[in-house]
Amino acid sequence: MLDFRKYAISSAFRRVKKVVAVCSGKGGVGKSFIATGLAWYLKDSLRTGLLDLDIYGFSTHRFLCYVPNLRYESIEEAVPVQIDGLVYFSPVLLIGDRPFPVRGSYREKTVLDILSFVEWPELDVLIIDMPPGTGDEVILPCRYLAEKISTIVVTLPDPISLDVASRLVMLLKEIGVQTLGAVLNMCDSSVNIEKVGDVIVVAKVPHIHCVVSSLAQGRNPYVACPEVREYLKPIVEYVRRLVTD
Amino acid sequence: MHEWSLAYSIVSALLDLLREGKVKKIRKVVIEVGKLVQIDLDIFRQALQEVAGLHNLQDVEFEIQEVETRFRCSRCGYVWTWRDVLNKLAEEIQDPELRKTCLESIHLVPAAVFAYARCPACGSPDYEVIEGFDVKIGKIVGEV
Repeated sequence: MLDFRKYAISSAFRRVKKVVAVCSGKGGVGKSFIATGLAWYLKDSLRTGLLDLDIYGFSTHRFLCYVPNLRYESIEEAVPVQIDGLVYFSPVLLIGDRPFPVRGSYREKTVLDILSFVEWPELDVLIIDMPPGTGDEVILPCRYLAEKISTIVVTLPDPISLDVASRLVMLLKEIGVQTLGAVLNMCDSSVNIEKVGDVIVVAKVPHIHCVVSSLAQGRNPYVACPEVREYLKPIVEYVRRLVTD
Repeated sequence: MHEWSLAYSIVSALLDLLREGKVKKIRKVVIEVGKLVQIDLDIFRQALQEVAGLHNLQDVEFEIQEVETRFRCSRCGYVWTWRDVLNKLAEEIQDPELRKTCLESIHLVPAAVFAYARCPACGSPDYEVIEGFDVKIGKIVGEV
């Protein structure tokens, strides 16, 4: 069948300079926390967007403490929304907190439809919070945004998570996508791991108690917890340099 | 707006076919539109003609075929249509603004129907769309 969505995707992303997809092989490693924080701090110096493509487990809105009202004059004109200068889209803007039980080929179509219809404004960088895994959700954005996309891999420092993350790094290499670096989450600085596969570790982020407590209080942890900015600084600076160089 | 974006994408795909020499001339394009997508067919037809005209494809005939959307429950086998979904949503979502958002979400991302609709017979979220899911090019008639 003639694939015409690639033209819509190309048009929707035409004003976006670079796309950085934050990926993880396994779920539950803190990918959304890292992706949202990266976008949140980059917006201080760059025109930045955040796209939540984790269609089953979208959660970036929770980190941003954003509650959509789901009453639009027109969705196409209302999205992407702006949150304190961050340009943002998530499935929560379409379906609220309902479960999204899409299966099989519908999953692929969902990703393509989201990539097609959200018209991004002029952006220096768009951060994508990718779904966990190594399937369609990762391969499709990489295929359709091949000219602009690079990735960051997030993992826990335990051997099992590292194994899966290494396989993801291999896959990304095989499909021709550059991996900028790896982030070790829930990781003490004393942990002696400097590479995931052949990708260098650019940040080690420990468990930060303030994040959990601020979320429980309905507060944005990137504002409420100054130490988060410090721990994410290496990866934020790394991406900022990539975009501005 | 979505209709114009679709028209632009379809015409771009046709232009690539011509550019790549896969066809020499395109006479007719048959486009199948599932009812689920809620495309405004008049706007879509107009958009196709205008965008095609801008690219010297004004002689191409666009035939738009609307396809009934039918669903089948994987649990109980019940089959239903988009009309049934609309009736059910009208019952379940009383707030007209929320209902508008629901329908527009499905218009833009047809798979959003899986978030909003369940099997009318047994309530299962596990069902398939047998036909009429999205917009696709059914046939291209031309010279190779």
